[in-house]
Amino acid sequence: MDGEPLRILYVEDDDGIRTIGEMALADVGGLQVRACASGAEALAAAPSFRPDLLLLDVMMPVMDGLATLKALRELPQTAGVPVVFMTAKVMPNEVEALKRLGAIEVVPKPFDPMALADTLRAIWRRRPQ
Amino acid sequence: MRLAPAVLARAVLAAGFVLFALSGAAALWSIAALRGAVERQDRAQAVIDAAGVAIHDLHELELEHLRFISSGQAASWNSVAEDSKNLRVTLDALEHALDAPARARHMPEVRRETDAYFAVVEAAARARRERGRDAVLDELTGAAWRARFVRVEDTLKTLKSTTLAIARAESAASERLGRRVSALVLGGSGVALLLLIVFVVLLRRARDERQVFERQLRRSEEQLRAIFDNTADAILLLGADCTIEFANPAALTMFGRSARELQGSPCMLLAPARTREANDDFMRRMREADSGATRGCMHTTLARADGAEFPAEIRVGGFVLAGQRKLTCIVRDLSAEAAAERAKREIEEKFQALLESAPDAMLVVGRSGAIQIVNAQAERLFGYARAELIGQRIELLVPERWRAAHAGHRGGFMRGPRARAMGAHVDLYARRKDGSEFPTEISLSPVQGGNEVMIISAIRDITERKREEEATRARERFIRTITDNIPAAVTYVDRDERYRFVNRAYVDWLGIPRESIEGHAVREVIGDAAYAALGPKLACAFAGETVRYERTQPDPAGGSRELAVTLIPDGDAQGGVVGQYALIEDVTESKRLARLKNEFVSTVSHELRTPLTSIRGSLGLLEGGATGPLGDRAKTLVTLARQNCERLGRLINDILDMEKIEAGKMVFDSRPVDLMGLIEEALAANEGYARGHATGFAVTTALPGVKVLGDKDRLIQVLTNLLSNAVKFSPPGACVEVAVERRGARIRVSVIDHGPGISDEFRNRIFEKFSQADSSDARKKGGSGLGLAISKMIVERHGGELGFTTGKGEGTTFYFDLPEMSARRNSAQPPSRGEERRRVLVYVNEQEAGKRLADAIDQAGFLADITDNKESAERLFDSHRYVAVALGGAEAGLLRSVLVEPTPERPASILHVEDDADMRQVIAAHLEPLGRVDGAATLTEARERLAHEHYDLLLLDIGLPDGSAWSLVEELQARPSWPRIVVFSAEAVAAERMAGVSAALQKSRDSESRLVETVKSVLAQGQGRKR
Repeated sequence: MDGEPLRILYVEDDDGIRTIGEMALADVGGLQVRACASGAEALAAAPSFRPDLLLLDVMMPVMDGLATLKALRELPQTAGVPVVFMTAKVMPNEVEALKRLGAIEVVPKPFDPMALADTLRAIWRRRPQ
Repeated sequence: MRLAPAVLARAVLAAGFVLFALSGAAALWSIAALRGAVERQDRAQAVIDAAGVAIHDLHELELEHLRFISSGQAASWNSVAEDSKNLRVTLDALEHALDAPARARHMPEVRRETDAYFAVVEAAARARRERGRDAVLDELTGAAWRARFVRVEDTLKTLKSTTLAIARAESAASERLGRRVSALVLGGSGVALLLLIVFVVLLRRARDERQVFERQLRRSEEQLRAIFDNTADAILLLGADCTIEFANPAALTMFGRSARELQGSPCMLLAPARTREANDDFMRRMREADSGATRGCMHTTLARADGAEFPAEIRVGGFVLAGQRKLTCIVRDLSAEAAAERAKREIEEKFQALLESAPDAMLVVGRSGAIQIVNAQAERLFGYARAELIGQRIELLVPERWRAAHAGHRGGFMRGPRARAMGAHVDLYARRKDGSEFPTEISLSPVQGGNEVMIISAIRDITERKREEEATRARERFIRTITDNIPAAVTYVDRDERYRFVNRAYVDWLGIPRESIEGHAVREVIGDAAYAALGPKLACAFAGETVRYERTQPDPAGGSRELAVTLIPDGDAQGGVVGQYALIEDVTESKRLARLKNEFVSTVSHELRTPLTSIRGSLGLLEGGATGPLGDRAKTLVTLARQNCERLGRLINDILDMEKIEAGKMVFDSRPVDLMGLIEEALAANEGYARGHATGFAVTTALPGVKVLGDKDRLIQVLTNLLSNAVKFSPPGACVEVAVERRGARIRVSVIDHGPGISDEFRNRIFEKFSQADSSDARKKGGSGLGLAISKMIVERHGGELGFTTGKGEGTTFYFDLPEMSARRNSAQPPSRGEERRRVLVYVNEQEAGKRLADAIDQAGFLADITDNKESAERLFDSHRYVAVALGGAEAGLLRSVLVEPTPERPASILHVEDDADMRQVIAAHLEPLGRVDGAATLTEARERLAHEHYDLLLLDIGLPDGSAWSLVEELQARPSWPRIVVFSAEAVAAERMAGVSAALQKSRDSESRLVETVKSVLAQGQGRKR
């Protein structure tokens, strides 16, 4: 897989952040990114995109990060895919709670767009096998 | 007029005697008559007998005569002669027997005839002897002879019958007389007997009457005697020469002398010896009294036998007895009267003294309203002299406008006097001499003074009291107004658990009138159910503890109110608790606001971060060249923008941290942390920043392997803050030093810079929020001003302290102290006791002394934990087992709460259900001194252990991998008994859940020492629900 760039399914409702995130991961980081504006869009895109890693915003309207994760876990294509949350809530107990729900890492907002891809790569490498 | 029986009896007796004499005389006369009659009868009988004998003798003679005639023999003649002699004797006897008249009447004839006969006989006899018998027979046959014989016989017979007839007549007469005499005697005897009976009856009656009279006499004499003997007055009878002739017992008693002494003595004996010389005077006075000049009465002094003198009153009366002038003296001892008089005077004096000693003005007022007695206080109070008041009407002291009414009231009171306060519910005023008035309190008591009812009135000037009352009322109004206008409910409950004070909020809140609350028992007012919950808390407050708790109260509108209650004991001067204040705040709104604020802050932080993320991201991409290379100037600007974005982000984070810490919402994930590793990590994280400031870090002192219990991220946050501050204020090229050293039971981490130091004026404000050395400085250094405040709070939540030392131009050292985790507590298997140094807690508020003591203890082979404040002393005491505590004097009292609660006799068994293995280990280390601590990571495992083991206490995390622990709590509660449950989880426990558990602690809020304390106290609550 080392040859192939990581495939990131990125769900973020805020257009600005999504644009920056997409640039940081794809343009700066050289990863394959499928950026979705909602959980529903992600669910629709996931089976065909077949991501290596899920990067989910937590607070989203209609279907939040946790609901999206739960739904994605239902899909065979994304059931075992590691998930990283990206959140403005960085209190340790919140981080802990997200980790308990299956997140292997939590990336706080605001993030450094120049380092985001590297961070995800590092997380990917450290992922539990 | 009735004749007295005695007189009547005497008359009857006299009549009896007369009658007796008459009948006696009659009887004597009758007897004499009878004796005459008997004599005559005897004579008549003798006559008759003699006549009869004469006749017999005649016949004998005749017969013998005849025989002779016939025989003619001489013998026969002899017989005739014998018989003739006999006849003659008989006739003599007859003659003798006859009384003179009868003799005269009869005897001559008898003698003649007899003599004739004798002659015949003799004749015949001669004849016979001469002529023979035949011749004589013829002659005898002739009548002459015969006739003679018959004549004699007839004469005798006549005599006899005459005598008999006379005797018979006499006998009848005497019989008649006898009958008359006997009738007379009988009648006289009957009358005499009757008179005797009457006499006897009369006599008896007379005697009876005399007896009655005598009895009456005796009785009246006895009465007189009794009076005489029993009178208290001495009664003396004096002769004309004033000699005592008689004295009654009272006199003997009064004078103390015997009757013998008194009787015959001159009355001067009774006068005192010293005045006996004035004898004449005494006697003169006695006579004056006797003559009525002094109305028979005199007062003098008399003396008893023993010389004791006494005042006496003597009443003298004179009378004549058997021609002699006598005096009666009635002497009355007046000493009792004199004593009574004295006593009365004394009572009056005492009464006056009593009045004078009374604190109030006292007036004694007569029926007419005239003032009779006053005391000095009354003089002072009213400004009148005593003389000005006595005799005046009481109305003098009443203000003019009420005088008329007062007189009326006074009359009313006099009609039914009884002790009472005057003018209840009315303000009374009195008037001074100068016309001024003052408020009074008057109490009236009727007293019987002689025949008159008098009123004692006590009058008190209550000006001062009124003023005080007014002041008290004003103060009460003031307090009421304040308390009624604060939103919280305020109550005061006394020792008897009765409301003494409630404010309006409480009244409104209960919806019961104030009168139904104040003065009533708490239990009665709030009901049994509410009291059951409140009672123990009241008891705590009465025990002197300030109790704070929150509770949820159903709202009439259907919702619920959250109330924060504070019970504050009210101590008296002796240190006892006499009551308690309760402050009940409705915190529903503030809680709602706090919630809103949290939500707001949370939302804002999110909403702020979202655009910030875009800005930061955009700038980052620009700066990083993702959109192509930038010009130098542009790049500088983009970098500046990016840095300020980051600063804004940090500011937002700090504000959120601050808010969370203050709201108690910051969760501390406490675990054993390797301190040196943590420091290395922090240094590494800040390395770049330091380099940016041309400084670096150096660890000057290290304690490899030392561990503390804490939240690693938060501790890094603290270190980062301290390091970045140090870097910020370090001059370029200077090194920021980090030192780690052991101080007693604590580990001190110091971050030392060589900067300018902290100015004096800023030192006090350094931990305040948004405080910075100065505004220009803040801009230059680019901090939020919250970092130190947050760091301090984080360290304190770890049971540590954050402090600093600084000197102008000498640099600054910031340090924090954290309790060291002992090696024993850090390892799963604690070392045996021998391997561990025994600990001594040194609690001295004077640091130098404490240090010296700690060194000495250390050298003696003990481990000394030193502290100078109560909180850390308690914390240390909870987390370690000490063999001794060394105390500074003043602290001894404070340690009361530290030193209580010995470890239970039997080690407790505790099951800790917690999915985090590190957490289990940490808690086990803390609870280990209390007993055995088993761990379970899941509900399943917990159920398994509960099925096979006995546990005293269950320590529960709620969110577990296989479900909520509440399901386990419910299962356990279905059993007859279950271990005590303490919840220790990240979330707060809802109020309705609390019923099932003994205590609930929050991981984020409550320190481990608090947990140990709670577990200890729950275990100490007993074994009630234990299986």
